[in-house]
Amino acid sequence: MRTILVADDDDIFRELVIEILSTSGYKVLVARDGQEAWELLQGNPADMAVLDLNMPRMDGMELTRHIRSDERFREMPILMLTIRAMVEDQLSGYERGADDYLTKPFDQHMLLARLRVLERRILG
Amino acid sequence: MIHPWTAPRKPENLETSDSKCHHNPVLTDFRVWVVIHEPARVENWRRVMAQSGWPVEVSDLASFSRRAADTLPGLALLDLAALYPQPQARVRELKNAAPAVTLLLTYSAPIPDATLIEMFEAGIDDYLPESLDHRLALAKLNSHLRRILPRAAQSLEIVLAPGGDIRLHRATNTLSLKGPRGKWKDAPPLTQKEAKILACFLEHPGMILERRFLLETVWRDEALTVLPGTVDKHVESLRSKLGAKGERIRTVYGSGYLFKER
Repeated sequence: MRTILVADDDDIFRELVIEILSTSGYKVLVARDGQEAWELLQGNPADMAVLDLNMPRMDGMELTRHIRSDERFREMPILMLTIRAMVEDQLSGYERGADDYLTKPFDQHMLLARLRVLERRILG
Repeated sequence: MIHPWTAPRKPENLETSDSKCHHNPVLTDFRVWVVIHEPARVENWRRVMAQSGWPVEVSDLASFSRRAADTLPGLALLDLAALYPQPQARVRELKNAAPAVTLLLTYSAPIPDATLIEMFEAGIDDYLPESLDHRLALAKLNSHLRRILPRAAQSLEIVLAPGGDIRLHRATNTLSLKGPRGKWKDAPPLTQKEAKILACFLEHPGMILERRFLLETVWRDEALTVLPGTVDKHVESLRSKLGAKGERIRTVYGSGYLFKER
């Protein structure tokens, strides 16, 4: 069973993503902001990460930078999930090492399809 | 005294395709494919893809399908229209024949979510809408290349037989054979010596390799102490692990062996 780290400060979206992922057979690690997500990762390895862009304490961009600069997580697929649809935001996400981008609101089947692609492409 | 061996040579009385000397891939062979039929769109995407710094090759689907399987991990931008009338089946075939090629999808109009999801499930790795900001297209392209290129470098460890049906992974001594339906199947694991002998054959297809040459290339310092017939025993074992493809190793009377080009 794959483990996915979900970091989102929006209670409704977070719960929605958790439900979609857990009913699809993923184990979910939950964090309410980037700082909590980073601390959680230290003792709980995850296979993939679904990160919100806007979060207090540490945002998704900063968290992605932390993840990519750590040898242990360098290969971890990262999907950014955000309400921002600005090209600049997406560019920054990719520059910091995100693998894919999905803007809210999203179709749950699309989220699962994109995660399966990352799973197939990167984790094999 | 060590008997001098003759370097691998073309047999005098055997037909070989001289001009088609087998070519194992190198990293400079890495390319980005653009499989789109409309000239105006081809030019637009060719320009974007060329910014990655890798050679871009514009191709039709048939020729891409033929060549993709024998190339390094590569990257291809496929037009949904080029995959008609059965786009998902085409993608599955491509993914099966060339699993190391990353497939990106595009189309002249927005693709509905339901179709897109089906295409992702079939094997498409990403979607680049026609209207996508070029900077974003390049960022997506680079994010794929960041993942692909280390694997491409790793794949140089892979030696293929002419015809692409026998594959040796040098680092792990793993031998895989392509079945009649194009699916790869792992053969029994090779010993280090068998793997080295096979690498010699794959690197010199259609050429006579003398026993002494194999002995000194594969056994090196031990060459003086191994028993006569050792090479033959290893080649015999290698032949049996190659199954039906073992017949490509031909014994050349009084001299050594030749790996047939096809």
